[in-house]
Amino acid sequence: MKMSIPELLIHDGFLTKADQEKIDDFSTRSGLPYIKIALNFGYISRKNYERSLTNAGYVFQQIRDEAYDTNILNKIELKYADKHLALPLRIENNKVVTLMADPSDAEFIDFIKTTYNLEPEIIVASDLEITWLSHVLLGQSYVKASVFDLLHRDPDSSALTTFTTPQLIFTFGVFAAVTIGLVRYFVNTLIVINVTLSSFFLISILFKLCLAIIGSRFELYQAVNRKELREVKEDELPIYTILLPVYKEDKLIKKLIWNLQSLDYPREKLDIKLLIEEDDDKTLNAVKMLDFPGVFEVIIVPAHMPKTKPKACNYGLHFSRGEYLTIYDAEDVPDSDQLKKVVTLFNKLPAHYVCIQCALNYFNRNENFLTRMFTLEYSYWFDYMLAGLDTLDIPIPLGGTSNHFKFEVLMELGGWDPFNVTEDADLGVRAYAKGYKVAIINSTTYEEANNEMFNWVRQRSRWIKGYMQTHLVHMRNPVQLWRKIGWKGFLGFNFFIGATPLTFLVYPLLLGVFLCYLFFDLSSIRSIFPDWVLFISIINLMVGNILMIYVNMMAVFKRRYYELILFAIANPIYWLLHSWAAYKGLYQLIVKPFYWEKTDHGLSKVNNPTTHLE
Amino acid sequence: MTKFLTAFSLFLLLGTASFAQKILSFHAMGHDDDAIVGLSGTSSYYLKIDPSIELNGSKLVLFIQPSQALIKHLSYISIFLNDRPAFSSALSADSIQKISLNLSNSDVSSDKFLKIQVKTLCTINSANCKDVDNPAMWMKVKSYSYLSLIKSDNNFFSNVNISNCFETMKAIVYPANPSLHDLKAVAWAYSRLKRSDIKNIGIYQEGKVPDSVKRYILVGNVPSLNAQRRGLLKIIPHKGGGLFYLHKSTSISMDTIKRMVYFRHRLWPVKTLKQVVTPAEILFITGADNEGYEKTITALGNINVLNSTFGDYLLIDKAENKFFKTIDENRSKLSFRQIGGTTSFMAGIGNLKNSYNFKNSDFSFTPKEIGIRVVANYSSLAPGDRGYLNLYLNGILISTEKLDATGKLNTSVTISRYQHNKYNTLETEFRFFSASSSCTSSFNGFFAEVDVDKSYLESKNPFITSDLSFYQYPEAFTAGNTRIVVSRKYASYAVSAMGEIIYALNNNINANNFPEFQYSDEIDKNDLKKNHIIALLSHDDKLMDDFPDAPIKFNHKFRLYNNENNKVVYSLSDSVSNGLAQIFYGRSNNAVLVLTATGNDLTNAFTSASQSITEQLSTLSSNVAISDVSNNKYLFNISKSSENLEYIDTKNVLTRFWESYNLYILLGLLVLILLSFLYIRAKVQKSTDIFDE
Repeated sequence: MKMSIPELLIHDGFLTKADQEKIDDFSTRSGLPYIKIALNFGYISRKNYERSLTNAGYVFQQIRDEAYDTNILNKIELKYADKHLALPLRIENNKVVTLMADPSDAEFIDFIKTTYNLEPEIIVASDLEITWLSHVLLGQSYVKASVFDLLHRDPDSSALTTFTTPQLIFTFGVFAAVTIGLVRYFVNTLIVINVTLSSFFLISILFKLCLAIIGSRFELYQAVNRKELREVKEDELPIYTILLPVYKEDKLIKKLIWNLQSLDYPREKLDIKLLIEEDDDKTLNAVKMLDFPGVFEVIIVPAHMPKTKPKACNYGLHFSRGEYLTIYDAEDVPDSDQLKKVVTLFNKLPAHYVCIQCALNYFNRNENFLTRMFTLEYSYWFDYMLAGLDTLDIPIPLGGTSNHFKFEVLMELGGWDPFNVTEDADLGVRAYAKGYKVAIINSTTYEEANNEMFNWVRQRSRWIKGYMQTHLVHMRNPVQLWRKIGWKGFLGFNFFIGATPLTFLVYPLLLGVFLCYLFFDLSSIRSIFPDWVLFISIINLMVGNILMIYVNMMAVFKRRYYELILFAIANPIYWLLHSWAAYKGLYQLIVKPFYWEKTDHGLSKVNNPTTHLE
Repeated sequence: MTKFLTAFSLFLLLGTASFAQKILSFHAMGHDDDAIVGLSGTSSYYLKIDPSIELNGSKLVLFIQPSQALIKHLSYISIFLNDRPAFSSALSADSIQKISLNLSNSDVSSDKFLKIQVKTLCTINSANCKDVDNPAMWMKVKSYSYLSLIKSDNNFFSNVNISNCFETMKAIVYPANPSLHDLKAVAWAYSRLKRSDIKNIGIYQEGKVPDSVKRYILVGNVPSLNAQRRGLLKIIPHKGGGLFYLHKSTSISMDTIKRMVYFRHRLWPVKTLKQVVTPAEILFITGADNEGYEKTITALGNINVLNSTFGDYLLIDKAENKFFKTIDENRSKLSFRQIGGTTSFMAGIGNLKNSYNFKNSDFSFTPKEIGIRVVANYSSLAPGDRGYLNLYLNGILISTEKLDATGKLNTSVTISRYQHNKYNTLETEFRFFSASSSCTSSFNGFFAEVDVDKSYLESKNPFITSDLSFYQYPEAFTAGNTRIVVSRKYASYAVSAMGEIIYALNNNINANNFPEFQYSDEIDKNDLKKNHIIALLSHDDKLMDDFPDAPIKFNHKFRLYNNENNKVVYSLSDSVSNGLAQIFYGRSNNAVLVLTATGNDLTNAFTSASQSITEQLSTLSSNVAISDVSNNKYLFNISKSSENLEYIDTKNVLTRFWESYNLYILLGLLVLILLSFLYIRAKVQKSTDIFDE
């Protein structure tokens, strides 16, 4: 008589009796099978599990090329297969050829017997491989749902159509009018454009200054203090889902898992989903190679266009168990008490607060020019701007990661738009339109600032493209948007989401004119700058630039990054990079709107994120 | 009747005798009807007597029209000649009273001026103190009062000399191929004649002088004179020496003689043809060689030398033009005497006015504010009497000062730059009102005199602008050296304009601007920065390109547009003769004036341009002037980047293509926009189609 797998693992010394009892207890409470808990809740590493079984005479097989019978597959639900890490493939020799990570899973064997009325022929395989195969073979309906759900429920909110025909007619109508103006009334048209741009810049800058000042006056994030944290009863904590969409992040996996281990939250209440794309063997292999037990579960996202992060997250939602849900990027280092803080805050806040945004900042800020500028920008953004937006009750564009949702509401909103490359900003607006609120909390997630220029431009071009997409989507019917989010929200949305890409597109043109005037003494430029226009323009140039630099300088104070203060002066150069990214984004918006411009992570040489701990 | 006519003809013939008569009305002298207002008053007239006039036998005829309210037998009129009483009488009963006075040589002052003063005393009634302010107290000197002057050549050879010959000169003659020296000489001679108030100065090339011109200045050094001319010189200067030589001769010619004949209580002009002896004068401005010639020209610029040359020739070994530089070089303070004021003791109770004319250019810079200080003495006022000094600038009362018992006045007033013009008239007026109780006895006891030496105008701040305008011409050329540059091929056309410019530069109390002359193709580029430049150029002169700061490039075809309606107001055209002038700061902040002329009548075009910029200009900021040969002027304020200036000939192929086809290009662009619209729509459709389930 062979030993059962749990006995085997105790026998081999990979688990203790106490572990065994804990697993059984948890299994009874949650309904999760033994193997799922052992491998996904930090009891045993996959390597040790495999080693133990191999020693016991089990042979782990490569299963990706195994033949399968659709009729057999039709009789099993993906979630069930995923739960048990097992998958029946075909009938052979009057037996059901079944892949199992835990060949002793009696419940699943019973399921096979009762469903197919045949005995199983068990092939032992790695749980990851079984997960991969089961998602690839059975996940089509889920992946389709994750792509088309929003489109079907609320086609007006989907970014599938980048430009609607009226938008195109409007845009090209403006082009045509400007062209006619330029040909017929060159100088006057230029003056009009000039004044429009100048006023736009001025208002936009004043708006940002206003936000920053309001943001600086109040400690707007909702503070959860230590006392409240101490009072949290671990037993009462809800299940917390963390989605970790990754793509080719093999180098970061170890670090990521390690970081998650340090989260101060009961292990059993964590529902961490590592979302790996079907074709991403690199990351999958890296997970296999982990030599320590991890608290996470792998979900394979079957291949389907568009290959975007929101699609992966939507897919992950189908398998999530949590009451709350958040997303982290592969390189993120959240404050260890972040989840507890969020839960505490959600309990404190009124019900219509459905999302809590944590501040993002960088652990490698002093690495080079780019990371310093990035840090300044983020400090200003999260410490001032979002606070300002929050106070003025203007929709907050959520920031990529570390936004914590109430799961139910997220489902109600239809999840993320898989076609939008800044799905978070879009979701923020959608949530706002339904009357939901976003709160900001005093917890920071440290990310890796992009330290390589081309990588930076790729990332930024995606963000800017996403802003354009979001703006286009919500401005399909401006009147309706106005009604939904009110005039403040409408203006805020336009100046924040709409104006940002436009500012970056226009900036190099104006800078070019200014430099030409400065260096080449082009007197004809004077003709398009009558005195009053020159006045506005000079105010923009002087006051605008100084204000923006000043606002960036302010950013260092809350976090005491005084060493960065002088770098605020370099903003005009940093904006040029933005412009580069903006043009790239615009090009992609037209040519490949849903293309996810992948940002490489793990380039930073700074590996000691503990420096962030305050 | 026949007998009567015969007798009348005989009378005429006898009457003409051997004299030619010249009738000079007050109107011709520039005086319209002149009212002398008030209880008592004075009007003065001055006439320069040229050497051809014989005062013995000449007459002054005055027509006085008194106010009909005057009590004629108690109102008086007195005539003073050369400050000496010549006639006094109570008014006659006539509505216009004629006073005829015989003149004599003793009536002329030593500087050959005839000074005529008309003094009046009016009475209306005997009621105490009623007369003072009665507006009916006036007498008018009619403008048709005249001088009947005897022209005589009797003393021609003895009367005419270098110092006074300029009064009668009519023209300037220069060699056929003028050198720069010749141009300079013409310019200075022109300026000199203009100072003597000669109108319509003719400028002729040698060999083209009309026969009617008998009195002229001939310039050219001795070697350039033809044998006939040289034969007239009785003195030849030695090497390096200069010479003024006045050649006088007479010739017999037929002339029309006009005489006034008194017939049937009226004067009748009668014209007759007569063979007359005509005097001819030629003033040679010459030198043994260029060196000597230059000395003569220098001396020509020195008015003191000429005014004191009473002979027929002047040999010059050494000439200085630094003479005036020693006097207050920085003319920021001008006494009333310097601007032409004379001591004038005024007595009486009405018309106690003095007037002083000054130009901005009398200062060495264009003045911003001008402080006017008036120092005067007057009969101290008895208690109860009132008296005022009123100051009028260009006819506007700018200040009034109360007089008191001290009898001394020292007052000042400052005028802003908006109150004064390029040419200004300042008037001082004393007004007295006696106290009613004592008016019977003290009516005529008032007198006053402005101290013309202690009274002065002062400007401490120059009017400075970032762009030069004609308002600052010619003062902008006062400090530093000026160079006159002329295109070689246009030199002969530009001579009178150069004369106008020399006159303008020196038409001030110091007259000390002696520019150098140069051809445009010889000037060193550095000199364009070191000196003020006055350039008289052909409009295709290459030197034009050396003025990058010029508002308009005259060497290009250009159009000027009206700012308001974008219509062409001026377009340069070769067929119409126009003079163009522009003034601006050069590269080293030196003043630059550029003149050019177009069309066929280049001489008049140049002259017209040079005259138009010296006039009282209404706008302070015009820097471009265009004037045609009929003296119509257009003034513009144009900056280099003005939108109302367009160069026609600088348009390149691309611009012309654009102008002809821009609508087609627009159509093309719109089609492109439509295509990109369709392209992007297709792209959007395509990216959506991928997801069709």
